Amino acid sequence: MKKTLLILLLVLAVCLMAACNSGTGETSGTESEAASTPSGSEHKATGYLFEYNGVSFGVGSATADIIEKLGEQTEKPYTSNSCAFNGKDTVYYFASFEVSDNDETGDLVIYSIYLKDDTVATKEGAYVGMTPDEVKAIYGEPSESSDGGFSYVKEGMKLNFFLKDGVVSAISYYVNK
Amino acid sequence: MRSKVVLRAAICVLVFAFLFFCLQRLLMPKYTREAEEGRLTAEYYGSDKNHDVLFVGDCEVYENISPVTLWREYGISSYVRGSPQQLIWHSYYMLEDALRYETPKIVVFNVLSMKYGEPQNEAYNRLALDGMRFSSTKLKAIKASMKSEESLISYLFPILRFHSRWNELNSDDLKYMFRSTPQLSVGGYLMRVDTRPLNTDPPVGHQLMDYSFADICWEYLEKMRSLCEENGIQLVLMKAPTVAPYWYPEWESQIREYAEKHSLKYYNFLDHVETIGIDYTTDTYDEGQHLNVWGAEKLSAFFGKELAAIGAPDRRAEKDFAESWAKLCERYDAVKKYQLEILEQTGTITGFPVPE
Repeated sequence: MKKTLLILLLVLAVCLMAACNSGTGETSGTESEAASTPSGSEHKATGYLFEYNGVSFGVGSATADIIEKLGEQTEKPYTSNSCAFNGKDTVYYFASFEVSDNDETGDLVIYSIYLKDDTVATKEGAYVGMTPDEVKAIYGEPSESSDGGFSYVKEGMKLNFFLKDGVVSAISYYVNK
Repeated sequence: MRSKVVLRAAICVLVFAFLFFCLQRLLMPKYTREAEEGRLTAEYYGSDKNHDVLFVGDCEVYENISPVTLWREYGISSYVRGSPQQLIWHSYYMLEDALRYETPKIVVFNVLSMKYGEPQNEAYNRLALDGMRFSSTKLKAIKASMKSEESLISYLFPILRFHSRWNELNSDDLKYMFRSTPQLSVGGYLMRVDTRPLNTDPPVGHQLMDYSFADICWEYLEKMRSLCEENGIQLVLMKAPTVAPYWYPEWESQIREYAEKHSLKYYNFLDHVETIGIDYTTDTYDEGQHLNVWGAEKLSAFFGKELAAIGAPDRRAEKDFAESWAKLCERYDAVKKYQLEILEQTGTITGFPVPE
């Protein structure tokens, strides 16, 4: 009887151990597990970078190192909470671009840079108002393309060119989910 | 001899099953200290199934619609079946699940989740589905919701998912191992009495590559419409008056077109903010993302009039309803009082505190 019970308990333990290794998305399995949010785990920019005020940064950069150096913000940052968890996204508004970060990792990490007008350009020289051909002359053939624009995927991020009336109407650096 | 062996084996199996059950009860998250919304799905089963209006959707319903206000103002008996980032397939199966217990006259679906064409995060699936009673509907809901790295068996036996919580257990895990957690919602509504005003212009969304809703979202909206039609239920679409996430005009036109095509009522409350009387400097607790109780009461008072006009009955004169709702009203007032006291004492509200 005792032997059988012991065997059954061992089976239970093995089942649980097996589940550990089954790759079922076990990151923590807890209440506190945060919703999926884009961020750079090492807080280091990846892929294409944006440069402004002599500061070069990108998706994955730590916000603390960047925001204060970018000059005056045009509006108060807007922070939005996740519906269920503690993670927060914040948008920082500058005259010609917006930077968004989130705090899931415990640090503020940039996951989006959005260029709104032609007073700023990508490090490689692309800006709002260019034709798709002009952009492709700089970056080559895009990784993805649709009626609304085209994208270049690089090292976990996407450089997106949005189109309106046949020209680039906005550019974004965004984490590639 | 043989019967003894069988008896022993049976006892062993029973002991094994009992231990498995106990461990599972212990390790399952109780959602008392964080992500409290994980308790919402299960709470529905404890409600009186007398609802003429059922709301399905994400936080845009469970934080913005107050069933108690609908009752007090119009005698409408309603319930909110929502969970965080509840995707349209979650909402469809929440509805299918609710129809196992009752048939409302009106189902209101909040359309924000049309923007998500694929499962976003396992944690949200867990919050929506772990509390659902076992049924073929639950199985279908799990299959529809799982991300590629998830497994069906871990939903059927959540211990396989949550066994690693053993080093995070707290006193609540023992306290609520075999008993229910305190009722978090009132009719599915989660209350917040505090205010964090929106003092800037509402955020405007960035341009998108493609504004079309995903095919799967249309498929589930169509399934929801058919399910309502088959059960003689009027399907109503709504968009809550919250400023983030941004609701694009291109999305609005797709929903309007669908509603017109199928003769469905659609209320985009963003178009009626002034008429409703919502003031984003007083009626929100997170800068316009969700309404606080004062905003939710305004919205519900406004929406209730519309719901009454399209057929939601006034049940205030019916004894069973009146008794059932008197308890909910009492609970609602107690939660409000409790939170106001916390706010007065500490100056802040965290989560969704409720009295024991």
